[in-house]
Amino acid sequence: MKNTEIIKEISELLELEGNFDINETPIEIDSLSSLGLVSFLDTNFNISVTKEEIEEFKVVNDIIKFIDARKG
Amino acid sequence: MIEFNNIKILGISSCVPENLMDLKSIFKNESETRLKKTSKVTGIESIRIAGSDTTASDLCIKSAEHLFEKLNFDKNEIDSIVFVSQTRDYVMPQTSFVIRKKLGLNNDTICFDLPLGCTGFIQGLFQSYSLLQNKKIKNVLLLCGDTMTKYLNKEDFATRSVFGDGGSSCIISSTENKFATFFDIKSAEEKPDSLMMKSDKLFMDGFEVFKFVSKYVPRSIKENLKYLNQNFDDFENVIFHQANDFIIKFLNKALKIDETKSPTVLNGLGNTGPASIPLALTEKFFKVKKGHTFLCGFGVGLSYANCVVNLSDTEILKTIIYNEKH
Repeated sequence: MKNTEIIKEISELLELEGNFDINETPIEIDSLSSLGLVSFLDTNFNISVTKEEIEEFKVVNDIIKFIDARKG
Repeated sequence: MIEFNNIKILGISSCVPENLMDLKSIFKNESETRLKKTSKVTGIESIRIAGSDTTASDLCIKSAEHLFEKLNFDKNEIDSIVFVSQTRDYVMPQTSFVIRKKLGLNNDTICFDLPLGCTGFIQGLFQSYSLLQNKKIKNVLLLCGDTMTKYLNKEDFATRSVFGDGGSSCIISSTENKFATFFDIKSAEEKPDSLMMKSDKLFMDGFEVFKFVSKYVPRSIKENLKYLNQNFDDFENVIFHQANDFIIKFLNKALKIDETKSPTVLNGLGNTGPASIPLALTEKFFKVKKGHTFLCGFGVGLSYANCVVNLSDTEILKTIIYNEKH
């Protein structure tokens, strides 16, 4: 999956609207969004994520970096 | 998997309370955005809520009376009752004794209560099939129901927006036909405290429950299909425990299941615990194809259970409504 596709999926999951900066725009991951994120990471990358790790995601790029790191 | 032969489900019936509440009425102070987002994920815009005097056994009894009538089944032929519920009428005595009396069944009917939830229907089937291994037992009445809305914390949005009330009944009988049925029942290594009753109120950590489901359920189903040397093309119906729309969609996607075989009946009902699988069948009675069916339950325990059953000779009745003035 390309980064552009990942960003598109994440923006839909987190309902990010308009122009947002993947490094600057703060993201809010509530309990429902976190389920979507778990499903997205599990289905597409076979990656498991904890609540604590999700709490560390402050911008979209944190999620992309997390995926890259886990994919090795 | 554990195999049983020469047993069939004769009929299935369900009953829900007449009170249908939409989320807007339940959560008057919540924003419309939050309610819409929740409904989009859970598939639930309204749920059935039992009246203050209506119990899970009331809903089950009503559905059983309906089943006896529609199947023209002589209730004196029932040899055992298995009542599956997390919201039994009493801690003591067993509710199944009360049900036996209210239904007017013979006093030699063997009565059991099973305090099980989301895997309750499959575990109840397993207990019923096990009882039928004794040649003197010919017919078992399996009743599954919860009135979980009585045990929800008014401040807990996550549980109040999902759980509903319902009851069901099945007659399971010995048969000359082969009708092989398979069960696989397990519990996870994770702690059970992400879904439990604490001080008479239901507590649920949805994140941990979903992680448990995603970790164990697809793998167990794949193992079962491999054991049976079958795939989902071989099944007419795949019925999941109706936890929420999101989990069912996740499982359909993870297991590449055709969604037309895997109904969701959450809207207008909610998660009804042990009654959710029979309710999925009776709500979609007109669509359910009679034949090879895969059933899967998961949740409280944390437990998960699968069953492969043939519904070719099963009468699936339309869900009925419980009149509170009954």
